[in-house]
Amino acid sequence: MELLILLILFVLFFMNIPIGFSLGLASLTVMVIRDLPLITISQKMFSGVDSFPLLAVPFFILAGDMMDAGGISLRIVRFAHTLVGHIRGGLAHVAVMASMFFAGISGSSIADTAAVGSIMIPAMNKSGYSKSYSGAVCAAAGSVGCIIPPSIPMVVYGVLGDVSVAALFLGGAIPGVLIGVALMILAYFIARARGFTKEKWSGFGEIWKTLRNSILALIMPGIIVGGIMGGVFTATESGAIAVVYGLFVGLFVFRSMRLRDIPRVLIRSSITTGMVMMIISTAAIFRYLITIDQVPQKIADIFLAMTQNPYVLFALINVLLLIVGTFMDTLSALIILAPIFLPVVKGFGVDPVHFGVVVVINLAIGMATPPLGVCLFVACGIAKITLRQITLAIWPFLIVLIAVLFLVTYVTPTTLWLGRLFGF
Amino acid sequence: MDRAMRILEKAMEYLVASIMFFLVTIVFIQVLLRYVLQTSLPWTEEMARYLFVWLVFIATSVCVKKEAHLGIDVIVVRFSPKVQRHLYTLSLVLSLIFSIVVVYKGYDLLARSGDQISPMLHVPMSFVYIIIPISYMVICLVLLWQISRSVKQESPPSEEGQE
Repeated sequence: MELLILLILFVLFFMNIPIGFSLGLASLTVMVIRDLPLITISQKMFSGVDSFPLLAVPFFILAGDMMDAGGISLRIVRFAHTLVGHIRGGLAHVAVMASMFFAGISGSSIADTAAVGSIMIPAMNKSGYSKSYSGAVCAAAGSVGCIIPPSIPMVVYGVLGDVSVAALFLGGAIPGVLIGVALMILAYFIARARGFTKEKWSGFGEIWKTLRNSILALIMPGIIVGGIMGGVFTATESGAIAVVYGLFVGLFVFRSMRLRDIPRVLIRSSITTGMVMMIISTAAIFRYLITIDQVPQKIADIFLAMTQNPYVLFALINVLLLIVGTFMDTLSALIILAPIFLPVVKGFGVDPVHFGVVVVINLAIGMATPPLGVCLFVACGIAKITLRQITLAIWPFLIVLIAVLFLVTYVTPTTLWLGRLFGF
Repeated sequence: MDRAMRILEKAMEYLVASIMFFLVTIVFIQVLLRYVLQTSLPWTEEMARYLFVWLVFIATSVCVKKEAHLGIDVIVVRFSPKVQRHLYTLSLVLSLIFSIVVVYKGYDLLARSGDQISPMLHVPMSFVYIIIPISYMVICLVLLWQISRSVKQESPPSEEGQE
């Protein structure tokens, strides 16, 4: 009976009813059956979004859109090119490196894949890399977008689970770099196996020149993370500062943006905000219902019946999340599943920060996993290839990503050490 | 009718864009005041929160119009086009039922708030809550329009979420 709400939810999901409406309808049905006062619906929808920390979500969306409109991605790619372009299979390394830099500005994997992919996929094609390989590299590399701080999913997890967003941001830094390095190692071996060529080392002069051109974009993550760590401003405030900074740099320093571009960017970011936040508002009703029904405890009992070992539990949850992540959007999955699993793993003595970072990495991988991976769709769209073609090229990257996921899962200092260093 | 819908959509788009602009401005000013002038206004955070609520609810209705809300179509795409169209209509009708409840209960929340005043800004809370029934009223209208189009067997409007 208590799990009825989950059953209804799955039926509605698979009827392709928008996730936000599905959450609302499933909750409504259960409330009518149980004769609970319906006013809770409007109360929870309001209180679910009436939150200053959550305001960081639209700000980071806007900051990413603003940076992309300001042509900052191109400067980042040029800088990455001078750094790693000379390694065998160079352009793949450039794509990974540029994605890592861009991840420090944007908080979303989709934005990362779109920004870097739209430059790198055509460039890789021109240099003779296949379309499916270029698309796969960019989709896999884009996953670091929401792992390296700032990160929109981490803000949402932090607010829902009452976990420090700053600690989560720090927790994502090392795993994000690990993923980048692992992808570059894989790209190197693929390049050797397929005999991709090398480019000439461009020299320190060139590095210095491109660095100067992009330095204002590259110090942005430093401003955000440094400001939050130093207690200068909150995560939400750092989002607003990122937007103003991006606007200033785009308009007056790089001069790549015009005033009349701004309304378009604002509308675009607002729409993305609406997509995300509607789910958060109706999920608040759902969260209320599963809490009064003690659904997390019941799920915990199911897991406990299977294992007493936190490592095995973590593996089970990872596999479950990987499966969910393949057919569901990252943020939606996070909003629905985090409140269910967080109490479960806390009972097993897992650190909520560590769990949060692992969940975000996990769901970010889901975005590059067929059949439903948003980053794959973005990359396919840019490369003009089918999902089938990219699926064949992406799997070595997925294996590497999942290997890093399990490494991070079981080596907790990867997510907690930096935070401890800063006193979290 | 189609024309009216387009005008409504444009109007809401500019409204959310303006709110977004104000949000950034308010929060930026909050930081600026704290560090440059060493003072703070007590109401900036509350104002930002309430504007954010407005942004969320209005943007939700824009997304309904654009059919930009995220769904899971892995199962549905395996059905015949005819079944898909019926399921699409059904999903609109179910969404409409939920939206009607939200309008009704949103109005209840508004009515119950009475002359409750917000702690910092001292504005009536009803002024904040009113966006719930209003935005979901718009959603109901949009859904009714989409249902009528779908029943008339026109292909579902295919404007994508992002321009």
